[in-house]
Amino acid sequence: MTLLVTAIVGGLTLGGILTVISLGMVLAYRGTGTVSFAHGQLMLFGAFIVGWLEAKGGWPLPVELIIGLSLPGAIAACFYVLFLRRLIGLPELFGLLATLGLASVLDAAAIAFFGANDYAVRIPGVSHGIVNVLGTATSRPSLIIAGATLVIALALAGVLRFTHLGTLVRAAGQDPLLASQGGINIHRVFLGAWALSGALAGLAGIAYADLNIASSGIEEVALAALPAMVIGGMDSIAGALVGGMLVGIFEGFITTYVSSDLVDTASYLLLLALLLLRPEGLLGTRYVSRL
Amino acid sequence: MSEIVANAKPAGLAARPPERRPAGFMLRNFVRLAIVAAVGAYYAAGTSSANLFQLNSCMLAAIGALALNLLMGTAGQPSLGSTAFLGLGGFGTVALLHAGLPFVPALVVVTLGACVGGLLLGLPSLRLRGVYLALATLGAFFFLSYVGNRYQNADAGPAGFVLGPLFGSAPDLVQQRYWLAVLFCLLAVTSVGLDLLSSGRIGRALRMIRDHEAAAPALGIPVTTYKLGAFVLYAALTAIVGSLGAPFVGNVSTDSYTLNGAIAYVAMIVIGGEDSISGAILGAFIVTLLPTFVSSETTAVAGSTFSATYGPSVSEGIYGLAILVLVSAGRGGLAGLGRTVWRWARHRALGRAAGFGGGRPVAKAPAGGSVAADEARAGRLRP
Repeated sequence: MTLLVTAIVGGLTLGGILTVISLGMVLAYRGTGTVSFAHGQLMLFGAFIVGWLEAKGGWPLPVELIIGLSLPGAIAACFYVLFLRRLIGLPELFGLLATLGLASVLDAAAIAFFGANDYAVRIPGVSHGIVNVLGTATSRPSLIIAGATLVIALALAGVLRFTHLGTLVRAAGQDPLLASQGGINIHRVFLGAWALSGALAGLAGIAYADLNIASSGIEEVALAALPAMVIGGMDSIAGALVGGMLVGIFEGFITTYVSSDLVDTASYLLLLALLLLRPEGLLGTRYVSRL
Repeated sequence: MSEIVANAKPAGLAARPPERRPAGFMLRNFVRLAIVAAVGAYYAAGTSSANLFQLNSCMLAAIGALALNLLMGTAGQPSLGSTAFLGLGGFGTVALLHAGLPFVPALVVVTLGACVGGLLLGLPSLRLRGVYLALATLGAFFFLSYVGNRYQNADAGPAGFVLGPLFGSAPDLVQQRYWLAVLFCLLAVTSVGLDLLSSGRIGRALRMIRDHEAAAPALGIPVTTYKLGAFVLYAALTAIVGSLGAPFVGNVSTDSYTLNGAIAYVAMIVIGGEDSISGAILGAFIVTLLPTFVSSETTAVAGSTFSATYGPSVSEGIYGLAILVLVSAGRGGLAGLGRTVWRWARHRALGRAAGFGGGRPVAKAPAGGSVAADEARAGRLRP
């Protein structure tokens, strides 16, 4: 029973973070059709800048958080304006290659600015302590973060589904040419999608760092989120939530019952199996090509 | 495109016309190898085994890059699994050497094993495209690095396996000269063989699969066979590089087979120029030499402490930036840049000579597949 609760709570927490990561990646994918391999580096920047500001001290928390969210957002927006914008309409592979380049550049920049240090990130609003869930001691911030990410994911899904802005984003993502003919400034929409994607990366980075520590290990979390994103369906906001939670809980069970070494391998094998059976993911759009 | 139809149609119906290579085929292979040979001879005559080691590392990387170029550049199947197969080669060789096999049979067995691995990795490619396929190869990477890790922890500890030099007890410099000879021959065979492959019927079929996969079967191209064949060749060549790299470096550990390593191979292709043999070799040399170059430059400018701390990340940043700029410029990397400059120069020269004031020169239509391939490439890169 104790193990079961540990597995589920650990899985939910990880699932929450994976959900925010894959939401960011889905948003970027919905925009420009690019799978971002630089998402982990954006998370790293969000977490490190907050940790760095906390270590320096003297900054009010809201300012720190705003900087922590807007820095990765700004980086992602710059990346879109400077490079990705030129790749609209080309095969998706070119965008992916560009994000690999961005990842290398950001890795180098992170070492240059923050050195090889780790930073502790503590968000005071999230009180640290132990809660009893069904007789098992679990950490309070884990539960808070799991809940908060769920709320954010639902809010974002709602905005994209029910508002005018959401319609613009969905239209521009589905068919850039038609959308631009219909009077939508697709470059502005894509820019917004990338900026928001970067901000979500920062949020996920800060949440992860609050639970653990801000170190270069954050980048691996983003790689672990790729299966979550694809399993849910690469272009589905709801899929990001389902995939994130599913993979999170799956990994929670693997960590608790088998071994934490096996986590990445297991989730990628799960991904491989699902890709072969259902390439569009659980909730994604089935792509049909006609000649 | 009409040419592919003409070439694919007679299969099984009539005798296939003999393959015609583009006019510059012999020349470009000769020039390519002559340049590499000249560089090799220059360093082999020197007395620095460190320089030779660098050059040999470049040649090894170039063979791996050529393999990835066939798969990613020509056939359009992206792979982040290069280090997985390097690791398969390295760890497989170590395991077989420990089992008592001599090196060369071990190399052969490992290569055959990698063929099977490539076939398995190719299976998802029959259903998946582009980004999904890259993710599937990432899965292969995680799986093989997990297996490698288990083996290493069980048998060798965190430092990995140590291998003795391959060529007896000769001094280091002589060892490196032997390696140079072996690797040059291998590079020559690989580059000429792959050029032969990609400038002919098979290359045109692979490009058709890359650019219009759904339409390829209609032209009589057996997509499944070609795709799996490309994966098998890629896996086998990469595993050979990994297998040779084990005694060459003298150490096999999971630290050498990282995801960043796989990205570095992709970087070689992108920097050199996709679907270009010279480009892949050039890219491999640049990406391999960059860390050493940056480290010596930063030591000269800012001292050795700075260089040791920031050198590796500076070079990573430089090649990241190179990828960003070259991909978004959309001209096919350095090879594409060279092609553009060459055309511009020829245009100027011919235009002046023929008296067309800057107008387009009227060129004789050359034979062979290279022009069609160039056109296809240009068409693909233009939105």
